[in-house]
Amino acid sequence: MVRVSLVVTKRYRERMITSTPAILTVSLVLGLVVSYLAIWATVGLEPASFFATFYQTLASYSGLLEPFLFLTLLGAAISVAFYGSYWNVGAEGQYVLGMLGAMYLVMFSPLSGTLLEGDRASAAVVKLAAVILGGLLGALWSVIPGFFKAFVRVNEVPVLLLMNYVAYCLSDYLTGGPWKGRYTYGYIRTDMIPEAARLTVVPGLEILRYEVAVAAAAVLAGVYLVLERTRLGLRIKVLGTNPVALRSLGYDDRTVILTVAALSGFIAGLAGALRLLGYDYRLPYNIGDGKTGFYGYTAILVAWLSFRDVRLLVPSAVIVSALNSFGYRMQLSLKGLLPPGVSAHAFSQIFIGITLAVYTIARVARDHSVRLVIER
Amino acid sequence: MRELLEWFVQILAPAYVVYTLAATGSAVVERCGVLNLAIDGLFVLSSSLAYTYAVLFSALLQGGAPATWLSLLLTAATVALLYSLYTTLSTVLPVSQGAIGLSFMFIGYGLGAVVGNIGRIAFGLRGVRVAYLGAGHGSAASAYLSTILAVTAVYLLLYKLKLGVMIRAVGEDPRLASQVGVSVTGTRLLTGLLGGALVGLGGALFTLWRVGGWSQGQGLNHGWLAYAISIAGWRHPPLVALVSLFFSTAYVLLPHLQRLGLPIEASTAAPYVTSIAIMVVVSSIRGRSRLLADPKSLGRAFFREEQV
Repeated sequence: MVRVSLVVTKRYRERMITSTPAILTVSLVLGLVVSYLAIWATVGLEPASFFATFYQTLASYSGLLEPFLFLTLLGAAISVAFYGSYWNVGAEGQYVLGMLGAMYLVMFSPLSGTLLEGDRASAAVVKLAAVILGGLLGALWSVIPGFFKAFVRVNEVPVLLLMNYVAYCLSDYLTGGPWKGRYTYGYIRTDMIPEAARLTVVPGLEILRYEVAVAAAAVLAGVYLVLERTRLGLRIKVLGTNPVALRSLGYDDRTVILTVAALSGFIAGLAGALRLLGYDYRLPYNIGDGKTGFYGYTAILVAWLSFRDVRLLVPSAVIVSALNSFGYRMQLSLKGLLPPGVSAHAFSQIFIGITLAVYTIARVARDHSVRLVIER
Repeated sequence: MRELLEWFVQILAPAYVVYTLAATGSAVVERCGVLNLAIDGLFVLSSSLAYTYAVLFSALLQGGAPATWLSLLLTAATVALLYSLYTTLSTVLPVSQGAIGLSFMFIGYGLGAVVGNIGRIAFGLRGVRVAYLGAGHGSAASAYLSTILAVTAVYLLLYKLKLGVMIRAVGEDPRLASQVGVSVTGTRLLTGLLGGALVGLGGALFTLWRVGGWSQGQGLNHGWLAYAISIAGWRHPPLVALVSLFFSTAYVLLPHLQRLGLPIEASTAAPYVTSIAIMVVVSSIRGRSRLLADPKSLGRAFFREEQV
């Protein structure tokens, strides 16, 4: 009888056959090729226009700045969680909660009155408070599944994903109900936030807001410092790699799970608040219908590509935001070609899925040797 | 009263059958120790595949019920193969099951949209009609019956047959199982086929019976609802079928809450909140017997380099 088996052995020696950038490139290229094939199979788009759009996207780098900053923030949020093996696929919902928090504070809270007085210092305080409230609500939205994971041992992934939809519903309820605007030309949405509550546009670079750039830099530095220089960071990393060891060392892993969840959700909520104050200025109805740009999901890819290495967050955010803008441009150029009812979102999902899978498997192939053994 | 009951039995049937089958499939997959994070993507994919197969065969066979039944079977077979690829990949390679599961989820979402659109553009928009399964009186009764039979068969397989013992052993401790001569990869491959066929059947019935049509994104989240039911039924087929009954009842009746003055967003969110709540409540019950406990190696990478 012939017995066929795969033997997988860990490489103990440091033999860096393929570097991480090479693996990154291979998985991204494969992701692109497969999603192109999917577009081709659906609507029969020729390669020339696909790659022409790709080139145009890369050529207009200033358009990449805005997705880059938000994907960096959300990528950092998810990355922290991944370090602690908390699979935060709920950043999308936490991002929405951040928007809700900021909206409440600048429009409906007792503090909102100070914005009308025109005092710049107090406006700055209100904006800061709005961003912090957004962060706290994001943290709350992430701590709920974290609590269930830590204390009830319910897997966090389905809970987080379902809570994204609950967040959409909550936002729609507020937008269509208590927060429904008066000056909306008949649309269901909230009113615009007051001028004084908006973030500062950088002169000459209209797409940039000072506060968002500062926040992204601060979050990156903060995440790096916490993970690499503090005991908490070490505990998070041990939780991610060997929770049993964490317990043996006398730490309560449940507290660490809650901390990771809160930290991750806080950053995602912060991003949502900044988004609302800096770019969107109002909440639309049917927010789950792509109006968030699905950044919370796309950022999973950013975190994944920089897996357990904070320094890789920036390059992966660059790559993913380029691809994201490319996908957006493709959607625009496909719009005439796609029959009604076809949304181009599917192609970016294929791209995310293939890239994740290839990257994961390629890393295993790097760290392990896989041999096919045939015995007679 | 009698009419109300009949109406209820009729509208409950498609929901009950879909969620019970998919949840039982998920329970089987997780019993062998593979974390089933792929379920939502593969559920979406199966609901799209079923549509495309159905329009394809309706065009080839000039419509009719045989085309619908053939597409049910083929969807179950295709998704079974994909599931076995998923369980095998997460066994032979020491990768994070979470990572592979999420990749499959995304690929399932995207591929589902592509497959469904291909069917819609090639046949659906050209006026090919599909004979969707009706909600006739006889069909509801036979659907309940065959679902219960299927669940019973899965229960017998898992708890009374040697293969079931192997599946559960692999889920508890794959290393030990492989030391006593059980092929971990082979067992998980078979489990993937079985569980995948059930999930695929659920997804296919979702399109061909519950909805009776297809649009992009259809089935999204319903895989997670099935996942929640399988957890709430402690991954034990008869219990899963029971929990599914309560859950589907709630799910079918919830939209009617709107009449009581509840905002539409609340009734949209209700199934998601209910799913989370039942997962949490059921998982917090302590002191379960070994038969109902979570598989010990669920979600852990199986790495057998020592056995070279």
